[in-house]
Amino acid sequence: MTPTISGPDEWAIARQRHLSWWISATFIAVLAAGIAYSLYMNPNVDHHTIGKYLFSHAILSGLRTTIILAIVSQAIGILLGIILAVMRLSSNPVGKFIAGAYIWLFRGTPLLVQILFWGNLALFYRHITIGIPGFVIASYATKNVITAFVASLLALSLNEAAYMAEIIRAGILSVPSGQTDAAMALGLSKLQTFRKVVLPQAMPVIIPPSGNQFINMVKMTSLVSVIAGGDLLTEAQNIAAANLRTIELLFVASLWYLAVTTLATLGQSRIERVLGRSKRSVGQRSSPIRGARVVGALIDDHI
Amino acid sequence: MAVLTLEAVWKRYGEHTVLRGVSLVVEKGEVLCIIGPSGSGKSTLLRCTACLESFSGGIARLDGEILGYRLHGTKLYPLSPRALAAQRTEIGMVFQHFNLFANLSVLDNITLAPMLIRKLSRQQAEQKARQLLERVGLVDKEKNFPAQLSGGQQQRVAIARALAMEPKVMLFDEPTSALDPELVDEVLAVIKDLAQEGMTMVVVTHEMAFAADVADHLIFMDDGVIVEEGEPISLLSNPNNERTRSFLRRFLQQNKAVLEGQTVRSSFQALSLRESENARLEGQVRQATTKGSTSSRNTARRPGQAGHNQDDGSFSQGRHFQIIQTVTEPNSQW
Repeated sequence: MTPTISGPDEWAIARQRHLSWWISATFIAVLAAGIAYSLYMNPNVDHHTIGKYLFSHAILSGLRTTIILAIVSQAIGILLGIILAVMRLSSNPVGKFIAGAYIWLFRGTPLLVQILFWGNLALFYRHITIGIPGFVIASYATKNVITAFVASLLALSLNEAAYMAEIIRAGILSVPSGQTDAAMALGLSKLQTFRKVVLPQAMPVIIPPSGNQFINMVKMTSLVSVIAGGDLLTEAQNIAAANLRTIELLFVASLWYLAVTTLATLGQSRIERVLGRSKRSVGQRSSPIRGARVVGALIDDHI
Repeated sequence: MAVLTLEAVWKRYGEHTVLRGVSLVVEKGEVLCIIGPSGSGKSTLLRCTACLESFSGGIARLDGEILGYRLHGTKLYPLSPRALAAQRTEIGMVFQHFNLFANLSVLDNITLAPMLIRKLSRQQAEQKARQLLERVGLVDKEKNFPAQLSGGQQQRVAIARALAMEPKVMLFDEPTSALDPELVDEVLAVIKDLAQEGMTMVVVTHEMAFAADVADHLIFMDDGVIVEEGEPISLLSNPNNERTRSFLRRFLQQNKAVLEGQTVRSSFQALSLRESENARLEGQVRQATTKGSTSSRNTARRPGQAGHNQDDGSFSQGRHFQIIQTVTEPNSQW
């Protein structure tokens, strides 16, 4: 005779109460509130000044310069980066070497130094001449051509290209070689394969780090203040130099930087969502979201 | 006329030699199957033939034209990328892992190359693509993306994509090795259909039964050389070489009865059909000479009967028929 097991049909599962979550959250909230309050009540910080300059003409024109610098430098950086990445991946040893040397040089020196270099180019190249020695087509004084804005643009885009080259190279390498095999077997040229098959599939890998780069770029534009590039920080510092309210103007600048980077982050999420719809590669089993959940679960278990 | 010839092809990767002087000939309309253990160089041989890899030695010719190189005096110079790409359009290749373009829909996969290279308009290319999809049995999947299809469906789309360029020869690199067993049949059926329509094909496969069924010629490769080659059924049921025998041991044990039955059955079929076949062939030849057409090409080849359509419209059963003759003649009780 088989023994029967008796018991309730349904075992009710008690809801897990994460007491540790509540305690740590309360602690952090109190800490953050304390810091904010001390900043607000600090007698040396004048809120009126912040409000006065937040939307002033100078600040807004500086903001406009910052945004233009960021977008244009990033765009040039991406275009040049694609060229460099393709050169690095080609079988041409000359191209490989040139691209490698460029990346080494521009990643190996600080951006601040590069900005100072371009900003002070007029110090050691008095004139920019188009032509060959002996036969001159046109000649310009360097300080007229390489303005502070142009120098900022040059420095930021050339530096960005070096970093973008590596990101794009990683994206291209992430596309399975079978895709190129199939395209070549059909008779497509290398350029056609790259444009129609490889690059579209490399984009989902390139976009997230590129978004990161752009957010960094927005903040790196602040470095051009050392050559008076006319960006947000330059304007803020100019005002601070006049009215001696340094902290308040830094607050103004920070608030604007935060606003721009937040917008950029939201934009990146949208682009990722749009591009990720149909570009899942064949045979992909796990997703990055699953990986993130696993990491999250591990952290939870150890609090 | 031989469509594809390989003459003493060598392929080295640095220190490692993969192909050692492989030579073979594929006639028009013939199906060549290559079997062998992994690492024997079968896939490399196909990739070299498809101009995806360079040669370390030897020559491959497609319809007489040297593949991948041009002859200048006595030296071979590599072709320019454009000329190479043009040669690749004449050779269709189907890969083990399908390699469909993941960023394009099924229809776009098939129309991409014809539109870019053959300069077809979108309507023409799509019309052609739909015809091919009908042929492989996937008309309703044209808007889907490769990730949404099963393995067998993806491979059939890959075959349609290769056919869209109307190649002279089709190469198959283990087309069913990456498929679930239940999906293998649908792909083999498409390949068999292609063979029966007279496409020149080279198939690297582990499906021995398929090779026995469809192939006109079978090659066993090991360690970069052709160890044994011959007529499929006789090679599979009674290999001469010891290496072939050990490779086929499992297959031989499992399929002993089937192979013997197939040999007997097909020879019996051949015997009983001989009279009616002769009469039909005579009728065909008469038809071909009066009409001047090769419409008789489409007469179905019965399974197990290897052979190929000759250019004058007659249907030759080639070597298989001759072997049957020597088998059946002495045994008059059949």
